[in-house]
Amino acid sequence: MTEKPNYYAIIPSNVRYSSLKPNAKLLYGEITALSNKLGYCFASNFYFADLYGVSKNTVSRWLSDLNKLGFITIKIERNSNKEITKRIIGIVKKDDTPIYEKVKGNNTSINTTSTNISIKEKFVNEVMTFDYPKEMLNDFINYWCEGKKKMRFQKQSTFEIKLRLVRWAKNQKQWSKPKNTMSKLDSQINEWQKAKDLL
Amino acid sequence: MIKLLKQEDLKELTEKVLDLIAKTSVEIGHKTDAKTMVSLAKIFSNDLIKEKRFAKMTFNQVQDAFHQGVRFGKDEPFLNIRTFYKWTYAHKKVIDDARYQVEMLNQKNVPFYQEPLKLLK
Repeated sequence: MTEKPNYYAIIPSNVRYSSLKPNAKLLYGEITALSNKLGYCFASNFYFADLYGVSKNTVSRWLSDLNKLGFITIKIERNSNKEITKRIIGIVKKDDTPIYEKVKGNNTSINTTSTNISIKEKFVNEVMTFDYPKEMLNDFINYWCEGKKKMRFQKQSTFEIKLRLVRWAKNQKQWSKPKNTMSKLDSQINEWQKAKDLL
Repeated sequence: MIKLLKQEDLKELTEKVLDLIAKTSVEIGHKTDAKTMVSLAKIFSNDLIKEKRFAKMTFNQVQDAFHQGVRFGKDEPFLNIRTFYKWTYAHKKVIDDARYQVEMLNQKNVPFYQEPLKLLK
């Protein structure tokens, strides 16, 4: 094990908020710290097991979980006798993940913003697929995308765009009903006239 | 010509009371519908003619009672017969007091004093 881990580890949002076990996410961070220069590392299960004080089997499970979800790639190199000579753990870089931005030399705050932007883009794209008036969809997006760290729709415990849009359209109808613009005094005078007729 | 309430014609008085109620409703800031106003006007005008305690009052004094009641009444103003009675009765006391001050104590310029109406020959 000749590699030295970087001082910082990076765990992008898609990994952080995935269904992985917390330690598996931490392992991902460790891998990113090891593979800063090359984008991959050769650390063994024993190395990770020793580092975290767990068994090799546990590390193996975490790695396979990370691999299953597509966050890392594991490549095994064998010699002519089909013996394993090297195991390469690579990080799967996605354009919209903070790790990609980090490599480009951005700081964390910008990374957060870029994540938010990508989440917003996804949200906007999904909303725009629905067949409602564009103006209404824009209003819907503006309302639900409000917020810096977390957008309003992210703060909801449940959020299904389709159902929210149905409700939005329903409310829109109610709100756009013509309101009674007559002043209180005018309506009172009207009532007085009616009363006079009733007498 | 000023008339005592007991001399008023019921229909005419009801019309005048209705106008007064409508005006009061605006002053209070309530939204009162036509049917309620008509009912209140009919009941109150009937009361004004029949009630002996208001017999010697005139309609302009009732108007004063409402004016004072809306502005200076102790309780929250409402458009109901009970409130109308409260205002009118309170004002009747003021009128009686004013009359006492003028006629017994010979004071001048007493607010709400009204010369007694001359009887028609």
